[in-house]
This record gives sequence, C-alpha cells and structure tokens, in this order.
Amino acid sequence: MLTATTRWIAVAAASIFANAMLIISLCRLRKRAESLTIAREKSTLDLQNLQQAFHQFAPQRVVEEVIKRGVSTSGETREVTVLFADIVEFTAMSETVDPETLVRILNGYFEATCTAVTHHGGHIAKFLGDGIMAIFGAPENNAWQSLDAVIAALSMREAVRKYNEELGRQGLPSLDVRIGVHKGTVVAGVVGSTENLEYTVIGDVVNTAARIESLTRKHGVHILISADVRPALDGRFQVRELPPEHVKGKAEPIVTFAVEGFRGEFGDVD
Amino acid sequence: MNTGHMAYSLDQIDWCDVPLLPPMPDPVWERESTKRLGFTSNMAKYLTPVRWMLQADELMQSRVTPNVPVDLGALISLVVAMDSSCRHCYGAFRSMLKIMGYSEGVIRQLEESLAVNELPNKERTALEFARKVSHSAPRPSEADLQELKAAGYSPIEIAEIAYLAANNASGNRLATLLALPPDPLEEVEANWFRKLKRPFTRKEFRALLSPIRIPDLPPAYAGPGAGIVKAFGGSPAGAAVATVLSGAWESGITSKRVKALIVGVVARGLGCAACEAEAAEALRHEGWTDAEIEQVMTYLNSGKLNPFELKVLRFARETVRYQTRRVQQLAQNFAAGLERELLLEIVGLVSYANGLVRMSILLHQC
Repeated sequence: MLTATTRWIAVAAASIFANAMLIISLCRLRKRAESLTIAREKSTLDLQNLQQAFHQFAPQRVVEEVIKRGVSTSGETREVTVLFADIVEFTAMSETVDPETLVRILNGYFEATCTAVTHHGGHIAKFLGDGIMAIFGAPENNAWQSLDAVIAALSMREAVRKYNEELGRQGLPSLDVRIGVHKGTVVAGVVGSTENLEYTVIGDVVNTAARIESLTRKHGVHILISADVRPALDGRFQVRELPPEHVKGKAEPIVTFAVEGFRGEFGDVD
Repeated sequence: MNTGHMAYSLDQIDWCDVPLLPPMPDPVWERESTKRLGFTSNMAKYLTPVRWMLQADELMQSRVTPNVPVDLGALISLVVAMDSSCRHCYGAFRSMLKIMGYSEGVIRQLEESLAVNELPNKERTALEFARKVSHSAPRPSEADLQELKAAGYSPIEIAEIAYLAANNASGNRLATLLALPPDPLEEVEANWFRKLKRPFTRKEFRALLSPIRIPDLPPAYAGPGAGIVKAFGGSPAGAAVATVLSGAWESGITSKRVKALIVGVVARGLGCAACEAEAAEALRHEGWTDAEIEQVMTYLNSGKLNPFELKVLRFARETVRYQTRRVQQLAQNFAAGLERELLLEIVGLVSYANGLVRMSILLHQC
C-alpha cells in the first residue's frame, strides 16, 4: 500500500515536473517568438526607412530595380538643368575664421540655400566643399525645369542675403554666392563602387554648368545662365546678354546671360 | 521638393494635424446618399457644399468596376494610397483589408515589396500597373498594357484597373490637401472588442462593397477629358468619369478657363500631350490664341491671368508630384483669404485633374 502511494506520489511529482517544464519551455518559446517578431518589425522598419531615405536621391523605379535585381550598371539618357553654386572667397575666409565657426557658417548656408533648391523642384546631387551641385528634371521629369532652376537661383540669392543679416548680428563675415545654370542631355544612373554608390548625372552639361558658374567672377555677376536656359524665361525676368567667353574644354566661346532680378507677380504659394 | 516619395508604413507619413477646412455635415445629402450607398461617406462632410464633389465622392465609394473583383480593387486602393503617401487613405484601406480578412502578414508583405509577396502573378501585375498609373514617372506605356494583356486581362478589365488606380490617386490628393483626420475604420484596429467582432462583421462589410452601381450617363460632355470617357468602352466607370467631369465643368464657382488651365498644367506636368490638347481646345473656345496657350503652359504666366489665377496655376502644378507635408503647407498658404466653396472647388479640380490625366493611358488602348 505504502509502495503504491509512494509510486503514485512519484508519478504525480514527475507529471507536475514535466508539465512545469513544458510550461517553462512554452513560455521561453513564446518569449523567443516575441523577440523574433520585435526583431523582424525593427528590421522591416529599418528597411522601410532605408528605402525612404534612398528615394531622396534616386527615383522610385531605380530603388525598386536595385531591390529586385541588385545594382544595375545601366543608365538612362535624359534632359536636365544643372545648377552650380559657390561661395566667393570661401578659402580665404577659412583662413581667418576658426574651424568650428566655419562649419557652423557653412551649415547655415547649406540649410538656407538647399531649402530654396528643394522647394523649387530641385534635387541636391552633390556638395563639393562649399559648392553645391543641384539637378532639376531628375530623378523625376519636370516640364518647367529651367524656369524652376532660375527661380531657385534667385531664391538662393535672397536666402543668402537674409542669412548674411543673421551673420552680421553675430559679428561674423558675410557670404557672397555665385550661381551658374545650364541645360542639356546627361546620362543619369546609380554609379560607384559596391561600397559607395550614388545616383548622379554624367555628361558635358555638368562641366559646362560648372564653367558658367566660374564665369560669374569674370563678369562680376551673381547668376549666370546659358543660351539653352534663356528660352525658359519670360519677360518678368531681368536678363542681360553678356559677351561670349572661351572656357576650358570648349572649342567655341559660350554665350551667357546674367539674371539680375524678377519683376511682377510670380503667384508663388510658398 | 516635388519628387513624390512612396510611404512604406503609416508611421513614415508626416501628416498635418489640422484639416484645411472644418467638417460641415449636410444631413439631407447624408440621408439621401446613405440610401443609395448603404453607408455614409466619411469624406462627404468635408466637401459640403460643392455638389459635384459630393457626387464624385459618392461615386468613388460606389463599385462602378464590375469587371474587377472587390478584393483586387481594395488592394489597388492600398497600393496607390501608399504611393501617394496619403495617411488618411492608407490607414483606411489597411483597416478595410483587415476587416475583409487579410492577415497582418500579407499586408506587411505588400508594404515591403510589390515584387515579392504571396499574391498570384496576375494580381501582382495589376498592382504594379496601378502603381505606375499613380506615380506616372515615367507615365505607363503601351508595353505596360501589353504586360497586363499577357497576364490575362481583357481591355475592359484593364480600363477598370486604370480607373481604380487613377481615381484613387485623385482621392488621395483630395484627402491630403484637405488634411483629413484618420478614417473611423481605423478604430476597428484600436478597439479590442471591435477587433474581436471582426470575423463576424466580415460578411456584412463585404456585402456593402459588392453591389455594382451603373451611373446614369450625363448629357454629352465635350470639355477636357471627353476622349478619355470614350476610352472606357461599355464600363460603368466611363459613366462615372463623365458624371464627375460634367458636374465640375458646369459648376459656376470657378470659370471654365480656370478649369481648362488646371487640366492643361497638370497634363504638361505629367507629359500627356493628348490631355493638354483637350485643355487647349477648351481654352480656344474661351477666346485664347495658340500663342497665348503656349505662353501660359511654358511660363505658368500670362498677361491674361489675374493674380488669383496665377496662384491657382502654381498650386495645380505643385500637386502633380509632391511631398505630403509640403503640399499640405502649400494648401494652407493657398487657402488664406479664400471662401470655403471656392477653396474646395479648386482643391477638387486639381485633385480630379490629376486623376483624369493619369487615366489617359487608356487612350493607347483605343
């Protein structure tokens, strides 16, 4: 009898122990499943944020192609307007202002001018030291790309004027920005090594836009556009034709126009 | 920036908390509309008192695409709302799919990638096409139509898929510009009791979505978009588009030239020569010369425009591709000093013009 009771207790204890172990295992499994779900959700969110961030500098279809097939080497030919902006005598300024202040000045400048670019349909393609290269008409098509680029240039000039007031109040030197705008056909695509990729445009248009920007010093003007951009502007823009100039890499002299201002109603809803 | 960025989750959308206009319920309209639809549209109270917009909203809530299954229609709505980054529509269609019986996993797969999910290839092809219609950068082409045909869709089914995609693109713009608050459908997700009841309400909910509505064909319409209406063949969707266009065109709140200019600008922005030609034809009827039309389309400016019309054109072009929060800010700026009726009509016109031009892919099918 005693043996039977002992056996019964032993069986019951073993059963309780087994059940307890099972419950503990189930709890552990549930916990593990929960942490896996959390990890999956986090990686999904990371992927979504990455996709979203990638859209900032590459067209949706390029992002999808990259996701589907990996980095493609093919590019597409398209017409774009390229804007180059540069701060006059920035190198000289960097020798007189301490590095920390210099970075602060530069960041404030980028903030003001890049907002002007993006609010007018432009896409910041590159920062080149104190310079900015912006594209209009890529990643997305833009029927008014040259008009937008010139309006953006005028807005950048205005943004720098306002920023200079702020710098003046802080006793800091003011900035002077020069801008060149040119339009033409480029190859657009994702280029670079497997570790460093970027969506960019390649072609003579880019070099010419940079040369036009450097001509601003020679002509003593702030905004200079090429003859290919000129037809996009109507009578509201104050435009002055300048004498043709030879630039590096071009056999023929190039005709440029200074954009001096804008008259009348723009109808901006900003 | 005008580049439209697709949203991959609701949390990613930066959405304005304050609607552009307060709701203004019209009990008489709501009663009549509920009789026709079987439910009340949440958007209607924000569209009062512009009659054609209320009718357009009712048609948007109705099933005028008998050749497209209800489920595919709902999936298209979700994908397009994601593409448009419309917080209101995205949330509403996400909840709708869950009520219809779609699991969180399937919806997540769709959100993560259109290319890799459990849907049959035929449906995936339709969804990819719908997103191309919505995004239009570049616009879908003849090759995309061929792809749909190869997947097994008939011309009338393709027309209805394009209608659903473009019509949702309009609705997304309307909800975005009006900055509508989350749809009450989302409450089903927030409330555990309603969540529990979901399997039992599924049948009832599906029954509301299923009835096919065949709108009366309005008298012959000849304004911008008339060519697209014909491209729908015998689908009731064509009659729905004609009803909306006719109502908008005949509305006396804004002039016909403003309406034609809006369609023209959106068409130029999306690179649709056929729609631009129809808008130009309407402007010629209003006394504009070809040179004047080219001038306004090239420079978004003309000596013939008053400051308000100039603002309308700038606003219209900003709605072609946009970042959600920025376009909502522009809408707030645009609204300053405008009366409710006029503001609503302009918001409606730019939204429907975007849908109409996106439907123009059907002209390749004629």
